[in-house]
Amino acid sequence: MAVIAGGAVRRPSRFRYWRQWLTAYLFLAPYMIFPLIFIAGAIVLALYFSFTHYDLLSDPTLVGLDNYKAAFADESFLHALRNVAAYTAVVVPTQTAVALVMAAILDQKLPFRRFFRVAWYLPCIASSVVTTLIFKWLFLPDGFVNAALNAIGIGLRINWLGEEATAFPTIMFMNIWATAATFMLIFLAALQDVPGPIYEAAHLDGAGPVRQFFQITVPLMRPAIFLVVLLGTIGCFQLFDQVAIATKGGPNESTLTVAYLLWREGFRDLNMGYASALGVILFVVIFGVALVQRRYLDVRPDY
Amino acid sequence: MATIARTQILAVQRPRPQFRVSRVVFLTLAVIFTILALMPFLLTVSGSFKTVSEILDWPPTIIPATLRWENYVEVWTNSRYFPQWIGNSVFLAAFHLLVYLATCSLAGYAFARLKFPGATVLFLAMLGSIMVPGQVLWVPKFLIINQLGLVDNLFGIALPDLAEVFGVFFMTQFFKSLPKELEEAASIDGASTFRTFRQIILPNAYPALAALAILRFQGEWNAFQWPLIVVRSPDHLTLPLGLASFQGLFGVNWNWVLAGAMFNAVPIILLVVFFQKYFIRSAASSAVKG
Repeated sequence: MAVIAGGAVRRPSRFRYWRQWLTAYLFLAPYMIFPLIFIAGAIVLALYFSFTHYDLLSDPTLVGLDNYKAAFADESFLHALRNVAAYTAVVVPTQTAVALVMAAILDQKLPFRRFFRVAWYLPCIASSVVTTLIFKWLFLPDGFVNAALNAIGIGLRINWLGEEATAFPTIMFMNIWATAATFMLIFLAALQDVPGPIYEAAHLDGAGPVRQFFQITVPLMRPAIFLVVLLGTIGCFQLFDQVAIATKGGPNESTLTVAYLLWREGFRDLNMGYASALGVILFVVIFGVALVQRRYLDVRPDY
Repeated sequence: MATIARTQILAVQRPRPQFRVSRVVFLTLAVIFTILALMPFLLTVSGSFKTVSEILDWPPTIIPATLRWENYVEVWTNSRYFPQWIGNSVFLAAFHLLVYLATCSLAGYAFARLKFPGATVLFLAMLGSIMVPGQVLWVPKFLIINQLGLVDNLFGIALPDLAEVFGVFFMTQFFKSLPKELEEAASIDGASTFRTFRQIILPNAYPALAALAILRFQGEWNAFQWPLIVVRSPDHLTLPLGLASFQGLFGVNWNWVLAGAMFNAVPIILLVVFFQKYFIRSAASSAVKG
């Protein structure tokens, strides 16, 4: 809004608009070329290949809905889908609760809280390869976990990751350990927005800290809880690293997940079309679960 | 601004429960969480100094009888490609930081300050793409880099990673928070948009760029899934892939695996401990990406 001598306000000409737009597009182009190819383009290709048979060696052939029909008749896929559903049902509520408790503790004026925050966050910053290898070692039959159990009088030598009954629960534990603190940070940020006078009133009414936590903090944090549950669910349905590194889906497919099956089909057996279809189904399942969670969890607090 | 002021006042007024019992309970829980979080790392440090025979002992010893520094030398020399893996990971992280920070701060500035047709649609499309699980794109992304001749090539890992959308949101939010007066002064002086960006805006964005750099370094340095799909030959592996391959290579020689893991974990842990302030802030907002 440059005021020129004489008081007339100069309006930008059509040419100036074009120049402005061109400048903006030039700023965007160096970045935008990558998501255009590797996200937008890839989504279109994923849909296309999910309707084909393609093994990289011969040209893709269109087969209609065959891959989708095959998926729902594939016992491995259905088994993997049940596995990730069970995994999500255990891991998401547990890690959400643990993260909430961690955040509530850090929100108190405890000594060493900066140290606690960094220490709890370390499991989240180490790579999945490192944490998985460490846990694989700790959970060996001769490892520290069995040693700790023996020390408290439980004389078992369990092959945690080698037995069908214990392999998946071990991976669940591993993942809760490795991700809870990420969600703690979201809760910590949200706790800062809870108005203080509410606690004051509750305190005057004689509510103790535990009751304050369950009757004030938790209800007011519903938006943050929804976010954490949603992100946790998306993450759990994509479980891959720990399975690929520690168990390769075994023993006897007890830790098989959709992502690992997709990788095996696509990159070991070169069923690119079938793997694409599994990806599309995975997306639809995650999206559906997210919508259901939104229906039940995403309620704005009123205060 | 108003909301920030309000929260600060409220934060000061907020009464803290002063009951001794609850503080003891909280502190006890805090110590338990700390032990659970740190114990695996401490045992790893101790294991990485053990001899081949001691690491197989039952029950396992917590503090090694003799400190065997040689594990760290052997992991470096005995597995032929270990230095190459570190080099590959350093190259990938450096390339990503240089190119990605430049491209996404330019794009973030366009979204925050410049007017152009399609801005909202583009921004929402990028936001929506977060809902698409990365694994849905494995096959098509692989087929694209196959067409480009980049399978088993470090650029086959690096280029698709530049599509990461989080940095653009992060920089857009940051540029929106800068006062508009910054550019207005410059545009009265007749500076071009790019010069204003380069000389006025960017110097004000260093804290945000530092936070983003730490976060993206962590992402690239730790990456597992996409590199696993792209590279095959042993000399093209990244450090995480190389470590994962260790298990089979040595019939699981655990003291070497643990020593090798330290080379991956220590740099990132040091970075986060020293730059805690930057990291915690950006990590909280990045969690939206997962």
